[in-house]
Amino acid sequence: MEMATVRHRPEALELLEAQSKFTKKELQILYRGFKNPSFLSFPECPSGVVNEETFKEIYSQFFPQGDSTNYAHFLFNAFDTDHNGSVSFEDFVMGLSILLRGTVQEKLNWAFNLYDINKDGYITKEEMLDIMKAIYDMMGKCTYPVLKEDAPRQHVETFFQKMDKNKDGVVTIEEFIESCQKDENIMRSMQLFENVI
Amino acid sequence: MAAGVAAWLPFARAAAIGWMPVANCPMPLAPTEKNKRQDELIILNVSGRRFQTWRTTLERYPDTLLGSTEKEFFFNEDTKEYFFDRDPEVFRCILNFYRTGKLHYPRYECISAYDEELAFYGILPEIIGDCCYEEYKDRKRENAERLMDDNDSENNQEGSMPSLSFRQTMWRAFENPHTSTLALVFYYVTGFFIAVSVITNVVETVPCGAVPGSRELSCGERYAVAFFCLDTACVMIFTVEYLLRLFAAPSRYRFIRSVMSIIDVVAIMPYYIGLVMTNNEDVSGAFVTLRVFRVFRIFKFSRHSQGLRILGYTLKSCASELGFLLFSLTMAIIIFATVMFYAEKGSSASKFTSIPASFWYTIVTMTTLGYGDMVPKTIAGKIFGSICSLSGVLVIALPVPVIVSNFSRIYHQNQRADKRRAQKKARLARIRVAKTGSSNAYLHSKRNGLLNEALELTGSTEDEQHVTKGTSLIESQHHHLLHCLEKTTGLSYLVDDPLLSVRTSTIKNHEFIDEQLFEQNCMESSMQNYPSSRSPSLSSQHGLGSSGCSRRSKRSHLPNASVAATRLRSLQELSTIHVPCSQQPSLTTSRSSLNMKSDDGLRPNCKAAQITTAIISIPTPPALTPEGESRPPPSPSHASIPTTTSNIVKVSAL
Repeated sequence: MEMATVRHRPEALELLEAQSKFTKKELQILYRGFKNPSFLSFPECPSGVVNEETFKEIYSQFFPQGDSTNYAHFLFNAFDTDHNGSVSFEDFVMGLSILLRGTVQEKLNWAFNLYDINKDGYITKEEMLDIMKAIYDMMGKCTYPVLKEDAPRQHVETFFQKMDKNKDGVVTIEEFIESCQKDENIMRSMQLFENVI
Repeated sequence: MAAGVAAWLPFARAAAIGWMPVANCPMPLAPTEKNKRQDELIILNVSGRRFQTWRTTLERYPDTLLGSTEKEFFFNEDTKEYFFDRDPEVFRCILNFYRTGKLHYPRYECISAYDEELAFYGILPEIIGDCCYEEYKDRKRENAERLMDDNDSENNQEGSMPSLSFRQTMWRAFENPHTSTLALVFYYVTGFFIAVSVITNVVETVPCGAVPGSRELSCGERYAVAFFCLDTACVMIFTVEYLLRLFAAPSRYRFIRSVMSIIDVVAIMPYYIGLVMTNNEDVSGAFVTLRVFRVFRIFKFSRHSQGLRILGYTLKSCASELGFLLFSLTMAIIIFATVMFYAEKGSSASKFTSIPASFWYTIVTMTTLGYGDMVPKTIAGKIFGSICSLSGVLVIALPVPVIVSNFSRIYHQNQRADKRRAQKKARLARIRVAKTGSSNAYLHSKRNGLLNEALELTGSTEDEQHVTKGTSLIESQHHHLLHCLEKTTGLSYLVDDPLLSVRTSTIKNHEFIDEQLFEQNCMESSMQNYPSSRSPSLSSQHGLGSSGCSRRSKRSHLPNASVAATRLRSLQELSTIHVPCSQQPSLTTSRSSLNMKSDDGLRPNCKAAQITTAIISIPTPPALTPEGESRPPPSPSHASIPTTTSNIVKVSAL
């Protein structure tokens, strides 16, 4: 409960500029969006950090038709690198720095980290299934074709066929990166969001 | 999409990288920012007061005055600022709307002035935030009522009323006696007769002088005929009234079931039953009981009194408190009666003959009545009796103020609850509209975006005006994000909107068919050459996987060609083909078109490496083919030979 009264100030602009790959102007734009007053009205959201509820709320605005709470939860965990329950501006900037300005290796690393729910270095089928279900949930009910019950599972099977080289039932980071680098679609789509800021 | 959330769009898009390794289809291209200007401060001069904000802040809502190019009309070249000759106080709220995404309504503002300003700036009042919406609606309604009153009084003076049917006029007259003089007369007449009836019932029983030589008679027996006539008159009036109400009621069934009509029936039934019944000794007892029900006529007054109705409603809603009171009383009564019985058992000639007999003592004592007909005589009895009376005060005194305060609370709450219910429905409707609006917007833009691509492919510049302009960059980015999600999962959004299915020439429907479903279908149904152009090639597959969602929007067969169809004849789109290279030579496509020419087609291929595709959506039935149009050649496709690991082949058609 002390979090509510603590005002979190981000690190100095120069420091963040040095640590991340953004310029000062970009950091300014990011911070203006991050510290948007419309989220300070959230009673549980102390200023300066974003908590999981806000994440879920943001995502539900972007995907109104489906249920994005699960995916937002996984995403939150991926951003909250120090696992203290809230995403500060530094976490935010570091995450975005990897996603937008990082090398392909770093991006794949980040994606692996997202899928690896318990952060043990292996993606198991159950973890992947959770992630897949969360993604499919975001589409919602009204889709064409209708989402079948085992569509996520099938998708996971396809994924594992592609990624799991030694067929041991888990995907390690090396297997993941190797498989992704061989797939030119994935490589190309990694570059898709270069100019987001 | 809320303004504040738009600032998080870059984050959501960046996080979409998390879907990439999972996706089976390649992602669509991102919308490019054609003219990426640096964000600049713009100055808004409103009647001398200067406001400054970022340009992107205003562009969050492109369909308002400030967010669109309409504000250029107010641009002052000399001072390089936008000048508005309007109220600066209200402008503050409006600018805050752009900043925070919430529109507030200040209480000190006049409602009509505020509405005018909103209309000027092109902002719909429906987006007022929940914190201020109640206030706004209340004020608006008061204003509307005031206007309506003014209009009504004007109308009444003129004497022109909208013509209702006879039945409706009658019903209105019954419900609201102030509508016309006749209704008022009716109201008072019935009220008078109710009073007369009740008084006669009462006076009937008063002993009124004795006929010499017999016992004292009540007035009712002495002047039997007179009372009978009075009773008959009253009942006739009530019957006529009931029948008239029944005739005029808009929903007779509901009227019959309503409380007031039941009271009416109960009030007049005894008379008729009395008429029918003979003066038999056996049934006269029952007959007498029936006369008791005549007292229910007094409840008919509740039509005449608003307060009675509210009281009745309050009692109904206070049922739980009353029930609690009753329950606790019953508990206490039983306890004390038992105790008193056993305490007084010893004393001789005690009136406490049984526990039920002691109930009477307990009730009288607890309600502090104390008639004195039953009094404890033993010491133990007296002690327990005093405890009983003390606890009685507590048990009864406690719930009563609760009920009273409940009454007052419910009275006010009743008024507020109705208001809130109406607003909740409206609010949910607004949210629903916003949701479908955003997905509608997405589907529209998807369509337009593909049309754009296609137009660019063919180099045609003519149909650009069909494409909606004014899709802000943020919207196009949001749509791109949704598109990526569709690609990742292999599903696509559906919106139930009949309007989507009818557009002129620019509809291009595409459906993403799930890879697995498709393989299944291909294996099941034999791949036929797609014959006539009317039937969608994959109609058999469409039949499967039907959902509750309406698919009208995707299944429109355009009945008429439109002129622009000719320009679309060479339109083709990128399509993605899944080729399961390893096993079946079946061909899957992920797009299907509605009206395909007969020789276009997905030809089944036996060799995995060779893929053909021709997805051409030309919304013309063959009969109306303009003569210059040639059938588009079957497109050879450049298939990129898939790598051994990947099953996805991207094909670019001609």
